Amino acid sequence: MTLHVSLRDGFQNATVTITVNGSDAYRKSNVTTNLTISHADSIDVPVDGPTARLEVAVDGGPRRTEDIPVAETPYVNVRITDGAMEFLRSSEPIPML
Amino acid sequence: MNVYDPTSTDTISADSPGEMTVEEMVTLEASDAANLAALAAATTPAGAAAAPPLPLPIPIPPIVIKRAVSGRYRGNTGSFQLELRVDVDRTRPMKRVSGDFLQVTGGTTTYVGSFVVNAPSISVTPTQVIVQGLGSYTFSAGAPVVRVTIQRRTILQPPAPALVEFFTTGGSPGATYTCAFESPYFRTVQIETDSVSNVTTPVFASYNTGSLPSGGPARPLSVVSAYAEAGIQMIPTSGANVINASEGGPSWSNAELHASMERHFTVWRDLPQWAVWEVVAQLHDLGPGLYGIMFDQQGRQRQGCAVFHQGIGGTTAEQLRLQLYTYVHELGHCFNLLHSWQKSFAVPPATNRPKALSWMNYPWSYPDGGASAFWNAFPFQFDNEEIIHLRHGFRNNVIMGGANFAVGAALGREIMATPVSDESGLRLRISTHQRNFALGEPVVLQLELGATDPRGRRAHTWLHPNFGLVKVAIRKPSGEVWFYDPMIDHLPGERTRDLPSGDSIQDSAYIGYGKGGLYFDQPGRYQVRAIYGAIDGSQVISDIIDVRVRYPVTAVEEELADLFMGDEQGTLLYLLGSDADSLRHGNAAFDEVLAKHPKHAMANYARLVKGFNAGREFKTISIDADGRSGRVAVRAPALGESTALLSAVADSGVLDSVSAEMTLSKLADVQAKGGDATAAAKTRSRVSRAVAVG
Repeated sequence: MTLHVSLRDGFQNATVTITVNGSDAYRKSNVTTNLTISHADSIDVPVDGPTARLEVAVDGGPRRTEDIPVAETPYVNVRITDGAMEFLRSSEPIPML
Repeated sequence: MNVYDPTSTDTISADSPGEMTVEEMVTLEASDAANLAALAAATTPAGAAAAPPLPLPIPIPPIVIKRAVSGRYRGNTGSFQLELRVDVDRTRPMKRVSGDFLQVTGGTTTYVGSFVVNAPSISVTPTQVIVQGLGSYTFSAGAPVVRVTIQRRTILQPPAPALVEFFTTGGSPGATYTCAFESPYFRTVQIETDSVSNVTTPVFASYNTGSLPSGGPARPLSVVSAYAEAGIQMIPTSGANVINASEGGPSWSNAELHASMERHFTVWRDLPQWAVWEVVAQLHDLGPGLYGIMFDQQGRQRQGCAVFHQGIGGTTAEQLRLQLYTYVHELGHCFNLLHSWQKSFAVPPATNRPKALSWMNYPWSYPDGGASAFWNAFPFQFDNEEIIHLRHGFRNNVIMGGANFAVGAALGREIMATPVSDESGLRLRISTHQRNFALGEPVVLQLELGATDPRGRRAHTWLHPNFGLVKVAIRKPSGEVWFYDPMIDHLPGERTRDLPSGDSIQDSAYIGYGKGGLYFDQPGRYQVRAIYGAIDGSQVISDIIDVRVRYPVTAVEEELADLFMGDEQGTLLYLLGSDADSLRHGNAAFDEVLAKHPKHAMANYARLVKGFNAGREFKTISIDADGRSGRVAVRAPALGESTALLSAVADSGVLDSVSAEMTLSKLADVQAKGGDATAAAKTRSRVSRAVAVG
């Protein structure tokens, strides 16, 4: 199965780390949301098992960890609002435009 | 058909949602105020005075035969033109007036600034409508109070003009404009829709909003009519065409979309204009989840957008609804609208509206029930704040190619604005001989004036900013815009010539120092633009060029920057040397450059200044101790010293071509005065080669 993680709103020159089941999956700096499509970056991470522990962290900023039922909601949109990070899970990709 | 006049060419249908007369709008305001007062009284605590009865409902007004006054007007006073927008009736009136000022000088029209009156008082009588209030401006307005008076006309009469009067806050009259009615729309935009050859589903045309549950009245909507309901007229160009899919491959990148826009958008120009390009493609590099994108975020932004049919194409009602929404949404970004929940990212920030039932929201992110709840309630409109932006936003915050995306605030008068139109028949080009400069290195601007009119033009030849007929604007890395102000003003006489097409005149100007001090005094990116005042009054504006000043990296560069950057050094560069005692520290700095860094390229500027000065006679006046008499000391030219210094500069290859020619000419004069005719002749022969090479 594949976990699709999209960094969406609220990223501004951020250094972002994504960890899935304890393994580093992503680390990038200068991550910034493109306001015209509300999207900063995306990764697809293959996972074993029906659940994956997802952690997303911004250096010097918010972080969040959740167990994602990948079989049901393989798409996770990450957004930062008022300094707090939230995960929006979906069975389908949330469109961008 | 218009219910007020079957013969009228007015295209705004009475069936359009929210159509109001100005009386209805004013009555509704009064009724709202009365209702609010009654409600407040009815909810007062026990023991308070008894609440008055609620007013009766407003009776349905009779059909009004007065013409609506809202729309766009235009008028001139002196060299200024005002485009006025009055918004007090018709569809969804926003109760505002706004306007854009242009300046027409000779054959050029330049944008000056904008204003809006956000909370005007509106007075309606049977004979006239008066809208009045304090305006907000993009520039410092001396008479900021605006009064717009429009005589009421029946639908059988032509529209009345708008009398626009400006007043100071103290009530003194300012300028007055009489603006003729131009259009019931607030803004007019050309739209060109191209499609790519591999799109597998039809390009969107129209969707009936009653096909599926929705908010608002059922009606057929196209992109054009959706914007018409917002008061924006979209006129399709005749240039729509099909683009070969090979330009983008199986999927499109933003760079490919931008290149395609420049290639295929028939009215594309690299300047602000009311024209937008929308391309219908199949797939973006980001995959089928990207339904559309306003890809134009480079250079002059927001001139084009794209929609992708892999995600939205088809002919079912849901798909047509999604296409309408996506096409209108992306164009909304071209108008500089942000997503509903991201308004706080605007500059200046606005309030986020995540629950807005607007084209600019995401249905699937709608907080009160998601996509199905959104579609059930969506009336296929922009929200009020977005309507206000579209109709009354300051011009550069809305126009395609104006302010960058999300930048909504105007930052002062448009000093560096590209003209709206230029029929002067002349073209001004500026350049620097190198793309970037060391900190402290003199910045010399080369200017070239040519004729674009095939018949040629008569033009004055005072290109140097010293003569006041060419202005140079410099935008510093901080964003501040300064006009270069030369140290000494020169009063030019008449000096004109016929400039045939293909011919040009040139000059160069040191613009590093003037009355404003050092203009390139910090590392970073500068933008420079020049404006030539032509004989007929036209303001011929050059393109904007970038000038980059490098950060000093080495200790030598730091030291040279310190030695060059001073008021005295700037003055010496401007004057090309001086014996003045008041500039002795500057001269000492240049001596130190020559002593410690003789081989550095920047040392040649010190040689240039000293070489020119040595080659001239210099008079110094000294006052005797009694203060009543003085004497003139004349220093003879030091021809040998001048020859050595200027020869080194001429051989260095450091200067721009015009300055190199000037140096060679001076060297030849010095050699001739020194009695070396042969050397002088040889030097003069290098002059034309310097110009050709440069």
